[in-house]
Amino acid sequence: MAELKRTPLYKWHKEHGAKLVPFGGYEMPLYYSSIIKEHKAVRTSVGMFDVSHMGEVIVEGNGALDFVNYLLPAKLKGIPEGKVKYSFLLRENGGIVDDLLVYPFSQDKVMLVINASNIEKDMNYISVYLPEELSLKLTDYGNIAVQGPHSLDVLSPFFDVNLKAIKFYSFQKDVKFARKWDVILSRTGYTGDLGFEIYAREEDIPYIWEIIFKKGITPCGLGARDTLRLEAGYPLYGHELSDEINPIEAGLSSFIFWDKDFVGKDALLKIKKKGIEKKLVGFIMEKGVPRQGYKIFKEEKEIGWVTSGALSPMLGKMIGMGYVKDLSIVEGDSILISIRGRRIDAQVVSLPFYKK
Amino acid sequence: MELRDGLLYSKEHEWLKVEGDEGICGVTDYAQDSLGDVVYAELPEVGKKIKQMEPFMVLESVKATSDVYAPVSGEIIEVNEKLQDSPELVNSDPYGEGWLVKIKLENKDELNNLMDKEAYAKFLEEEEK
Repeated sequence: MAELKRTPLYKWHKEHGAKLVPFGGYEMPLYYSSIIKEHKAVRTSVGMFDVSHMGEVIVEGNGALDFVNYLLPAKLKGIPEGKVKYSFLLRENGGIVDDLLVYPFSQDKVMLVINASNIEKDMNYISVYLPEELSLKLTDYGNIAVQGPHSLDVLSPFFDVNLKAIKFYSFQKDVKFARKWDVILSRTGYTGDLGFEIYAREEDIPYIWEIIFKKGITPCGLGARDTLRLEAGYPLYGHELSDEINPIEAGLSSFIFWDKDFVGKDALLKIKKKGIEKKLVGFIMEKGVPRQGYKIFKEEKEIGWVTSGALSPMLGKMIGMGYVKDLSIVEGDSILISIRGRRIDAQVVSLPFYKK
Repeated sequence: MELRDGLLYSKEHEWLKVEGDEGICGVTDYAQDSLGDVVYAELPEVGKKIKQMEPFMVLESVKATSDVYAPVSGEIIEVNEKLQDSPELVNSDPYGEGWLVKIKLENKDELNNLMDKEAYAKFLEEEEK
C-alpha cells in the first residue's frame, strides 16, 4: 500500500488527541473527543473540520468553462458570477466517476473540488476529454469547513465582506481572512446546516485553523462529517455513488440539465426511457446498526443492499440508505435488514432524515 | 487509562470480576476508548453457552462493529438490560453500570489464562508500542 498522505494540519490533529484513520489515501482525524459530541456541536452551535484531503483541480485556458459545461451534466452556461454547482463526472455508460463541486472563476478558469479517494482517477478521466489548449492542474489548496448555526457569527469578524450577502451555494474569491491570508470563501458544506468552507494555500491553513479554533470552536473529525451528511441525506462516493451507479438511480436527476450535450447523456437518456433497475431509499430502525453491504429483504425476498448506516444523534434512531431493486417500495413500507443472520425490521422514510 | 484492582483481564480487553462460581464481565476502559461512542449492544440470550476466547456478543460503535470475546467458558445467567436503552454506559462507566453479562463459570482453571491488573497494564504498554 502507498504511504498515507498528510494534510497541513496533521501535526495539530495528533497534538490534540485525534484518533487518526486512513481515508482516501490520507491519514485523517476520525474524531477528537466523541463522534456524537462533535455531531451535536455542529447541529446546535458550530464545529470545524479539516477537509484538506479533498482535491482542488483547476481547468484553465481559453474556453475552460465551455469545456466543463460539456464534461458535466450541470447547467454552467450563463451561470451567475459567484455561484457554486454540485455535479458529477460520468462514464459514457452513465456510471458516476465522482461527484464534485464546480467553482466557475471566469470563462477561462474553473475550479473543481473532487473526492480525495478519486483524485488520480478523475485527473486521468478528465485528461481523456481535455482539449489541447486547456491545462489541468491539481492545486495545493487546503480546505477548512466551519459548519453549524453559529458559523456565520463566528466567521464574520475575520472578513471585510458581509457573510450574510453570500447566499447558499455561492462563493467569493480574492477575499482576505483576518486581512492577511488570501482565501476563497464558499457558503457550502456537507452537513445540511448553515456553514462555510474556506479554501486557502496549504501553508496558510494551520494559521487560519488555529485562529478559528481559538474562538472556542469544536474541532470535528470525519466520523461526525459522515453522520452529519447521512442525517442530511447526502450521498457519499464509494457508498451511494460509484462507477456502477447512475445519477438517476441515485436520486440525483434534479442535477441533470438535459437541454445540452454532455458526456454520458446518451446513456442516461436510454436509462431514462427504459426505466431504472434500482433506486436509493432511506430507512430507520430501532435495533442494530445497518452497515454498508448488509442485505435488504422484503418479506422473504432479497431486494437490495445497504450503502450507509449509523446512529442519528439527533433522532436517537438508526438511520441508513440503500439500493432496492423493488421499485414499488415507498415511504412507510416495512423492509428487513439482515444483520449477522438476523432480519431486523426497518421502515422506509423520506430523505433527509433530519430537518430543522 | 483506568484499571481496577480485583479484576481479571483478557487479551481482548474484557474484564471479569469473579464472585464464587460466577463472574461479571465487561470491557475495559481501553476497549471502550478504542471503540468510541457505543450506540448498540447486541446482548446474548440468558442460557447461552459460551467458550473462552470465542466471540459471544457484539458492541456497535458509531464507526465499527466489534466482537466481545468470552473471558471464560460457561453459561450466561444475566445480561445488563440497561444497555438496551443506554448503550453509552459502556463508555461512561465501563467497570460499573456499563457491565455486559453475568457468567456461570464452567472451569475455574481457565482463570489462569487471564491477567491481573499489573500484567494487563504491562500488556497495554506493549500494545501501544
